[in-house]
Amino acid sequence: MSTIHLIVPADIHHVGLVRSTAAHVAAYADLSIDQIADLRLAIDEAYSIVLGQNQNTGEIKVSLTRIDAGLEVQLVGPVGVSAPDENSWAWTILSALVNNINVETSSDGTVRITLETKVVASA
Amino acid sequence: MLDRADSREIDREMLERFAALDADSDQRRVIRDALVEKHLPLVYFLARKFANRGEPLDDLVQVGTIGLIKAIDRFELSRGFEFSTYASPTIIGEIKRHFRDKTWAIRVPRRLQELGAKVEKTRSELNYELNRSPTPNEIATKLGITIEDVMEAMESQSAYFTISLDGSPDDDSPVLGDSLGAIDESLLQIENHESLKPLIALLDERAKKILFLRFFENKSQSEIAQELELSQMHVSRILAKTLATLRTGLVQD
Repeated sequence: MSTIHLIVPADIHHVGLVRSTAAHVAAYADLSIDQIADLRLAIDEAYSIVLGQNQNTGEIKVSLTRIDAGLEVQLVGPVGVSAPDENSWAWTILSALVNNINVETSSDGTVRITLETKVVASA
Repeated sequence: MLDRADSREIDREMLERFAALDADSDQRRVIRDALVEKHLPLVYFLARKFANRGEPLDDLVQVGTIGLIKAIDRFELSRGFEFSTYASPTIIGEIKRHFRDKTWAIRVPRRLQELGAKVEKTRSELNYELNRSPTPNEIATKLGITIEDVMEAMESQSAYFTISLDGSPDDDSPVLGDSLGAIDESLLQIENHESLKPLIALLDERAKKILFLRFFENKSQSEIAQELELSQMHVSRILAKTLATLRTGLVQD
């Protein structure tokens, strides 16, 4: 499966670019309008988690992969951001907006959030 | 029929009497009403110039009339202006403000505005037909356009209402009804999210209701849009703004 990679400077100004790109890829992955609207909100949330407090240092790596069942979006932030715990508000929000979430902290200290939205429409 | 000079003379007399009266006297109100009525054609004339920009003429006349009333209240005879000369910019100002506040926040080409409306209409028809939210591809196929067009149109739609969302909670949404007390209760019972309570309390009623329906009743954005008689894009924007507010608030904690 093909993956689209996007690397942006770690600042809040680039969230719009990531959001729009994800929405476009989601459209071609046959997600519904509601799912795309939810994915946009999820990107806002996930982006702000991986961005953490350290604005303007490092970069955020985004990858968008069309999987059989839908779309997988992965965001990796700069070093030194703490991962959200499962009881946090951010987690509550994310889990309502996408089908699957996975958060891991890599050995190099970066947080990786993976969001997965599954196609409901019969294409 | 009055000629122009007569009409001007009547204006002057009325405005003179108006200015001399106490601010809360009944007579002053009567004269003001008469002045408004006399100059309503001017409001219609100016409103019509803006009529082809997607807002109903009635609405434009209504805000234009507010401009007229402001002009009557502020007019100073001693300046020697003719009233209609003085009032026109104030009326136009109100109409322009209406466009600024209530409609397209950024200039969107007409083609996209129309396409946006078509896409939104088709989205809602398909939603009903399929009993689920359609995909951009389904909308594109039905309209004979590309997925790219659908996405572009939807993004242009999101430029609509940007500013009015930041305003006060709207006074024209009776749909919110009386259930808000109950919603407050259940939102406030969120375990583990103690620090959210004060932030949620600060949200306007509509934002609170949408937040509740999406995250606690698990309704889709389309369903919420239908229930509150808003567009799905509108619901989306309110949610995005609300979540951002909560996020910022939580970080500052």
